[in-house]
Amino acid sequence: MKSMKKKRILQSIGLGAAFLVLGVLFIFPLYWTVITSFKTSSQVFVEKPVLILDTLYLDNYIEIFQKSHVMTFFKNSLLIAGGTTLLSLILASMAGFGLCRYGFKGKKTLQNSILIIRMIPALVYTIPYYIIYNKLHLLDTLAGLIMSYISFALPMAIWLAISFFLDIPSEIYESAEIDGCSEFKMYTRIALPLVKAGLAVIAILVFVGAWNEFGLALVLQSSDAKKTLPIGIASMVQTHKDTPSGSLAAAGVLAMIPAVILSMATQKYIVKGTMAGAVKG
Amino acid sequence: MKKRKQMKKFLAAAFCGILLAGSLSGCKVAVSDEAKSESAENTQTAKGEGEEEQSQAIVKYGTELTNLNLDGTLHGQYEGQTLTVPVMSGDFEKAVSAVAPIFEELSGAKVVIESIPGEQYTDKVQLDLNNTHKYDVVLSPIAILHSFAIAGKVEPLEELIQTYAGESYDIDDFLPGLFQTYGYYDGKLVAIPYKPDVMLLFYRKDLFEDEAVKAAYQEKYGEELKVPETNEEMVQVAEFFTKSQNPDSPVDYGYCAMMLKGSTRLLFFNRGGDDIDENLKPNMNNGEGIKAMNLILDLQKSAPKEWVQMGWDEANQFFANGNAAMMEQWPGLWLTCQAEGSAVKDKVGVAVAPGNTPTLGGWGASIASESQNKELAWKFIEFMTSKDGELLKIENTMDPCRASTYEIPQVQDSSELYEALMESFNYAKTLADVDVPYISSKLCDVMETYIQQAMEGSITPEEAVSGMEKEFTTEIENLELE
Repeated sequence: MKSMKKKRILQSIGLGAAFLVLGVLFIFPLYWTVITSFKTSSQVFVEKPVLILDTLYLDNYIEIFQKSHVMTFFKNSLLIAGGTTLLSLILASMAGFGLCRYGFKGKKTLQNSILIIRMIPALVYTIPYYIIYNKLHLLDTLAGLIMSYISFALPMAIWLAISFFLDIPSEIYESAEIDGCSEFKMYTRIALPLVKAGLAVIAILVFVGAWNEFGLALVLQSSDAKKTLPIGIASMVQTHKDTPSGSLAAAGVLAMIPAVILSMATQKYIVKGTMAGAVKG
Repeated sequence: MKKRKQMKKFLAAAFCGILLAGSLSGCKVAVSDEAKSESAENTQTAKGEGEEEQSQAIVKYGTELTNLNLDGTLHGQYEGQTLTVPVMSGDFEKAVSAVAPIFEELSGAKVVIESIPGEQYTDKVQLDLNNTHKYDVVLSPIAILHSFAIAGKVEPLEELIQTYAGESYDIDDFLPGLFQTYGYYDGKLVAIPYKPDVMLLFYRKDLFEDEAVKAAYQEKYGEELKVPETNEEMVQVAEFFTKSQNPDSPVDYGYCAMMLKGSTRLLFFNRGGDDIDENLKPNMNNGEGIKAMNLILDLQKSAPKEWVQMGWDEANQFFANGNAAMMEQWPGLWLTCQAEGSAVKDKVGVAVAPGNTPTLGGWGASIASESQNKELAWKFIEFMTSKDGELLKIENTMDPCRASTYEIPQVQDSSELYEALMESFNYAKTLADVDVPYISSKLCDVMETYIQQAMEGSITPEEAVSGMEKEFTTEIENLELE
């Protein structure tokens, strides 16, 4: 009995230590970015790295707010990621609901073709998008970028939505039908509230994907007024001149904020949503 | 049960909070003196500019800029026209953005500046030249501009200059070597030099002038310690300043350079190696090429082991931290050496790279062949590269390309680099990027791979240059250039 208890304690200590190491591995780069953003330029590149700061210098934040268009980039990223998330959620939930609820010829093929689109690397679409958008005068517009992001986000979002809608027992729809509920109301009043947790998972995945996207935004956007934060941050990296690492870190901290807030706010749903996906047979 | 869970959550959050607060605790929040002085400088500049505006005259480096309207050829006649100029973010963006409002006021045109991150700059410009044709002026590294020229993406400039340039626009005033190498390709003038670049030798002036160090050198080699001018002198001085070869050395290493893949060929060129001749034939498998490879291997003994992992930032910081006696680098290293916190501030001297074959870099300005505003595009290039325009760009690290600019005493005094820079331009012939259209970066990669293999010791210097020659021949033949 005693040895069992001892074993359990040892196991807990081992597990705790493993989590601690993992935690440090994940948290240290974030911590490093945050403290670098509060260092002066002469504190950044030193042979003995400074891990704890006596004074938090605001130079880098003043620099990025005063001398760059970081707030414009931030606003654009927020609009683009928010718009992409909202529209993707609407479209994916409708598609997911339809594909679960109705049987029709070619349904499997349609579902699989959505998956195939997802498998093609996004970079392959970049030049065609550029040429098409040029003809449609959609280059350097927020709407154009949102449209392209939606097309990338939808396959994954639809597949996730399908898996969440499949968890809803068909009896619920049948009772609603008997009560005279229309299909649209069934979608809005019955199905959507039941997959709320799943939608939160989709929202955060789509948002983070759009928030961090670089390649397409680089090609499709050109003026400072329409650029996103990742492009703005990449612009800080210099060639043949020292990169302002402190300002880069400050912009990085700024870029983390929305994703962190969104993750914290939807944490409850994410756990539920991922669990829902996991138990589906 | 629920309460217990909530308590656990609270404790976890509190723990994280305490950790973060602990690490940042006792921290004062402040703005550093560096930032304060910069802000004061900016205010002064702004005030100065305001004063200049009031008196309707711009004075730079003691020279009144009286010909900004390019002999009266800019008089608001381009009202309603828009010029789009792509620029690399950073100093290029600052330099062009600083002159654009003056040009707008004089010409009446609107200048749209599109900044592009450095790493993706060429790709994006190329994409536009091939598809959207939005850009009017093309600012680009020289070898890239030459590729654009042979593909017909940029416009020959002679006719535009003859037709539209102001009468005092003097192309003979550009540094001759620079103008020929940058401007002409395939017999046509396709670019005007905008930013010159050449590899320089940065050395620790304090060590080279230290009497005790000089005496030790005299004793060891029987000759006076001086800034090396030849490759052999450099190898010897580097050896002297390397602790593993001379335990009394005041620094750890005699030599340092950025040797991350992508930069190694620069050292090969600095040591006298070449890439191609004027007929686009490989020109490295010869005595000079083998000697250059051997010199690199000699210098490797006096350089830090990790130098093959050193890119721009790492190598510069290594030198600025006072770890090496000499370093070959582009002029931008100067700013790192003189920055606050640098261990070598005011202790660094600059000279021509030993051997007198420094690598030539640099950027030029061209006009997109599909531009709808070629006349306006030329006027903008003329404005930026005129004698007055040169004085406007210097403070944004765009060094002068005109001989007359270097002759202005205040310009000479403004940077300790200029003397060495001017002299280096007389010697520099080999461009940093292999100047073969379409496959420039591929051929650069070929050189990098062989040089790095020789440095690892997996092939001999002879095998390295012979391998480069073979691959160059195949690649260039496959191009089927006329």
